[in-house]
Amino acid sequence: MAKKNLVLILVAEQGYIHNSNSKVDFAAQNDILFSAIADTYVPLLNMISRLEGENVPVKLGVVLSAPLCTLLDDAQVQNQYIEWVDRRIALGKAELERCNKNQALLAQAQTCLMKAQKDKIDFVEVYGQKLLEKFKYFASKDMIELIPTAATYAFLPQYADLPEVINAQIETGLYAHRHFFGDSGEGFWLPYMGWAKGFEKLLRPYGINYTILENHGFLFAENPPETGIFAPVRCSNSLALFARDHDALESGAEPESFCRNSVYRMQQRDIGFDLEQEALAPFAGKSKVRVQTGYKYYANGTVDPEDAVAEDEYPIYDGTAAGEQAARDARAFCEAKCGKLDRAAELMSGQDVEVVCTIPAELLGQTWFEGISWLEQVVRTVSAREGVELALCRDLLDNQFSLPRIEPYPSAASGTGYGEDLLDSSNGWMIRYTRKACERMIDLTERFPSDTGLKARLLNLGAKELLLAQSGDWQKMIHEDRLPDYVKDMFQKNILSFTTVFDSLGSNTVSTEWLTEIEKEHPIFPWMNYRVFSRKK
Amino acid sequence: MEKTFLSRQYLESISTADLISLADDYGIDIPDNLNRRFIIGELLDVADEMENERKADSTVQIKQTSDDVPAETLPQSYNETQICAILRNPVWAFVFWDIKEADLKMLHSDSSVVSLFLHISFFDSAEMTKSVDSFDIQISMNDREQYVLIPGGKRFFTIELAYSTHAGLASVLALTKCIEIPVGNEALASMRPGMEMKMSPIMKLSGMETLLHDHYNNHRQSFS
Repeated sequence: MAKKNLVLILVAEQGYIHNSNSKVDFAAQNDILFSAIADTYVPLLNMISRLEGENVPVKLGVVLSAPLCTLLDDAQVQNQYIEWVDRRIALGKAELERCNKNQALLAQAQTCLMKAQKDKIDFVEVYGQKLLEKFKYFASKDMIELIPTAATYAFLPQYADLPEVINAQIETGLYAHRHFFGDSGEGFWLPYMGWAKGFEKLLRPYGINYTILENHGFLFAENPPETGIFAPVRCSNSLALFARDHDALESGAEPESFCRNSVYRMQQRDIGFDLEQEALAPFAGKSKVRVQTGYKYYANGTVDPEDAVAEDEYPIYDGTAAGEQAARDARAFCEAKCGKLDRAAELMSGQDVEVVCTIPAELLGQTWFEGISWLEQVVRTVSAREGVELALCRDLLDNQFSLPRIEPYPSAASGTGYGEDLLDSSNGWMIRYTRKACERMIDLTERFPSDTGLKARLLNLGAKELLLAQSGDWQKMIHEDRLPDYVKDMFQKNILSFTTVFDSLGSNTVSTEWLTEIEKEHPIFPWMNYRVFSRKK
Repeated sequence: MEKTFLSRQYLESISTADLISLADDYGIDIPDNLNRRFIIGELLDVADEMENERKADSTVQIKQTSDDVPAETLPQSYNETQICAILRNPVWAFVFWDIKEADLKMLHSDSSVVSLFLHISFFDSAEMTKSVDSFDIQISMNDREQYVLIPGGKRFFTIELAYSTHAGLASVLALTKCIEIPVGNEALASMRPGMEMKMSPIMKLSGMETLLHDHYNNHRQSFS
């Protein structure tokens, strides 16, 4: 009998936002990682642990980018996170006093405080500050498949004519994956699912077995597969390809979709944006930057979007009602996916079928507070259902060398399907600098093929700075107007550091003080070998 | 209100209620979900407009003194004459170029130079030397980037950065690599609103109809 498989892939990534200078106000930058740890990564690990404890079968694909792993693995960052949770707890205690005359708000403050206290216990005691170790453990139990991705989540189609650059992103990404998890995985997650013609020739030589494309990569191909998106296909060199389902959860981030349900917690509404600075002092300290604190008391409600928003118009959050709604939404999601699988199985008479859904990790817990609870219900619902199973991509390739062949159409899961938002009027100015640095880096590897000592240190730093400058996150954040000043500074610093390396190698002079300072500031990829940028001869 | 008052740093430090009130003062519509980033972005746009108006009115020139330390910024030019094209999507190319100082000097001083332009040539194969079609886009000396729509049915293209002279001659300053234009399903070019597309049930179930619909909405004539 044909198998029906539901593949869920969670994509967790962020730019390398790291601060080694304690005097700099880094509250807004840290908020990205720390909120992700507290609201997504730890709850996700808790969820898988719970399911493991109850022997519920779990099969999830998980992408953890190298910059994210580097930050999670950094002892200094871990300590900063603990300090951040401590400040959250202190704020919670102050909130209990502030809200003590309003029982409804007080109950919310208590719940948020309890979560903050549990966050600390989970991070410090349960996981010993080492979240990556727990992911690795679940991977060893075949509950999750860790899928490597490019070194700094660069949007690779923008470098399609520079194979050395794509090789460097792939090779460094794979090496980082091996560094953190002990192996190189079987698949490869293309950042933003960006595909351009010929990528199979760059991926396959690294032993990569498969990747996942946006569905129009399959369907808009000159020779679309007869099996649509319901079975993997292969490229001319047998790199297997899976297609993401168009109705996958990413469309759930849209306002009209279910994660905006009126009973769900309103994530934008946080006391960090509402209260006077003095009331936030236990959390913010001297920082004047307003960031979320985790103390969110209201539900989305059904306020007419056309109306101006007044403070009291939102209903107080009801966790029980939201939990019930998450369970209902999970069942609806499973019904939709399983129904699709049933229909595909009928049409494909006897052939195994699969539906691949990709979910940005940020959606679960951060954009959508109840997201992890929803995911847990999805896993439970599928496991209790006959005929459909959760599956990992790597387990669906028994017949890899007899799959139909296609030449995929260029595609991406960003912009309007081609990553246009990563090259527009807001961020188009960046590409001339990264590409110039790419040309120079490739040239440097020719000029200095086997150098050691100080020159090798310089070249390795240049390679790191260039990879960082290529981060797709920078382009995305500028497009979204998210910390734009910081991102511009970071990008500029990456490019200027690279240029200093280039000039130093040309003039044969370098300030070792400067070199050491920059190395310390960006302690990512400590094992970097600049030859990843060399031409394959 | 002064631009210095409406700095990002300041706006990020005030409460949502104050932001909304400020936005209200400037007649900015408040979004439905209290998106602070949106409100801050809108307020900064207003501040920029006001600053530009103020500058336009002002006749006072600010001079930099010799004591000022120039900030370390990205170079405006690498002093090389080069052109590069990237496909932004299968039908739009993003082209950017740089012109070295010596060439710029020549372009400005040579009285026979009429204009600077991009010459887009199409080929049936990457090896062909003679183009099957071409067109020009005039650009100014100060331009450094341009979006170019690639007409349907073409296979390969190159873009030259060139200038023309009074004598009607054209000289090439720089040339891009030869870029292959993706070939896709014919439905992409023939899709029209209200048109019934023939497709298998499995393609329908895969979401092809929605995809084509979205594609038409987003790209319309670009792909035809």
